[in-house]
Amino acid sequence: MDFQLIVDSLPFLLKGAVLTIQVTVIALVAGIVLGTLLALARLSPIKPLSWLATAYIELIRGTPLLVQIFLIYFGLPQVTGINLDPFPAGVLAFSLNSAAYVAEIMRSGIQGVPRGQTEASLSLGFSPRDTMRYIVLPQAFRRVLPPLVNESLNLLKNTSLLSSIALVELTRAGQIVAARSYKPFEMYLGIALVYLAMTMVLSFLSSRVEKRWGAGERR
Amino acid sequence: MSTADLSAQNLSAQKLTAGKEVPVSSEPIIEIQNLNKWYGQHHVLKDVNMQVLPGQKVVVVGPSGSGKSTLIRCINRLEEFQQGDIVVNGHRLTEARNLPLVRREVGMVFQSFNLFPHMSVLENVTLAPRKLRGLSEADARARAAALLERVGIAEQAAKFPGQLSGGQQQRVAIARALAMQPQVMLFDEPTSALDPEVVGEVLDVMRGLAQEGMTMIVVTHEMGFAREVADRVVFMDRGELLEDLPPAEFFGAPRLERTQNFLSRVLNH
Ligand SMILES: Nc1ncnc2c1ncn2[C@@H]1O[C@H](COP(=O)(O)OP(=O)(O)OP(=O)(O)O)[C@@H](O)[C@H]1O
Ligand SMILES: [Mg+2]
Repeated sequence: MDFQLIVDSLPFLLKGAVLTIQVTVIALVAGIVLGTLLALARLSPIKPLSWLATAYIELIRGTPLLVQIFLIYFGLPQVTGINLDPFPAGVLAFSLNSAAYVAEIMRSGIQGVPRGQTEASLSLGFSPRDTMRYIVLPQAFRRVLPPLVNESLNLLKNTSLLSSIALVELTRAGQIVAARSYKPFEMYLGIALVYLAMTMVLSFLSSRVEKRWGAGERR
Repeated sequence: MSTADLSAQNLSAQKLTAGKEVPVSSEPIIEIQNLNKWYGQHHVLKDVNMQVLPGQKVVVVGPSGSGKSTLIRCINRLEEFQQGDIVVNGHRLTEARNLPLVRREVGMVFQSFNLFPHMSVLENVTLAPRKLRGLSEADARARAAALLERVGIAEQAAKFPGQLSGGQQQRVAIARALAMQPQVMLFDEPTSALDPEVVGEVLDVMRGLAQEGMTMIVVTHEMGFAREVADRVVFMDRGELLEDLPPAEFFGAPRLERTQNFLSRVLNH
């Protein structure tokens, strides 16, 4: 066992980890924004809009993420002539993918807000739209925090798939070192630990947020 | 500005109700005509007609499932109806563009309070006046403070609904509705979800409101409140509005057998 190898290649690995974090954060933010819009579309009384959103969500959830990544990275240039670098291609794929999962999380969060909340808001004179904005969505976000954290953990771990389109994120960085050094066990173990460290930080942060949100509104 | 507002409102309200049963204006503020509503095949409101004059207090009673909630929820159109007409303060409810207007002028208090759990008590009471009446933060706060004082929970303003007792929550809910300065208040069994020992504090607030001349429609099982506060008691059974009488007559000499049966059930339990 040669752990000196990990220590020596740490700067290189950390550069990969930074890319991993970048893809995760951008895709998560985009996913939450798009996913919320998709959830609203799916719940909309306008049927075609609702169908379109449902179709998108089912399409994404029913196909492998790796295939979606390949479609965007290899397929898109063929039909559009637009060549995306691995990084934007990866961000795009993960944003579109997490949007679908976040949409389903948000939908159940919105539906979980008691009907009486909407009625109280409407009875004060708020429009359905303002009711969604001031009353339902803020409560829905609090409800979906745990599944949303779960989704971000998956997102973070799944970015390792981007190694397959030659983006030098954490996993790819590890592959490179492993191949060069003939020490795959130490190397992949090291990478696993770095992922673990990142997911633990994320879990810790989210539990802090959850506590703070929960503090005021014990039921 | 808002405290001045409030006392001005109180003054004119007092003029309205110098005695007890005396609405001055004779134009009804609520007019319900031939109202019919179905849930699928189920006919839940059958040709209901009712008028409420400004300042009147109408208590609606009747057995469970008789359509009391449905009736008052039609008045601010939380429920759709298929036939008939409701006019509130001159605005026809069937015209969609009148809906937000009517809802601003009609406050509603629910059995389950429905306070916004993610907001403090103060925010619950200031949100609608700020967003819908264009009050500044300071004015909305002043108005909220006066209302919370009036319902007896000024010290709880910074707390969240989940930290209050049921009686306190319901009083906040009343303050929240009053903050819009409505013309009419609807109450749907406001004390039914409360522990017996706090029912009184909510009824006291409602009594105070009645004395100030607020137009009120109250669905309740509190017959004492009906006797004491109502100008009229309305009896519903199976979707029909069967009686509409002053409390003395309603409790003393109900006309229909169905009413008599109902009264003997609720008064003897
Ligand atoms: N959303 C709904 N869908 C179908 N039927 C409904 C719905 N809401 C109410 N009903 C029916 O309409 C009728 C009237 O109900 P409503 O709630 O107005 O009665 P209520 O007089 O308020 O009764 P309670 O004293 O129990 O509150 C009942 O038979 C009820 O089962
Ligand atoms: Mg009811």
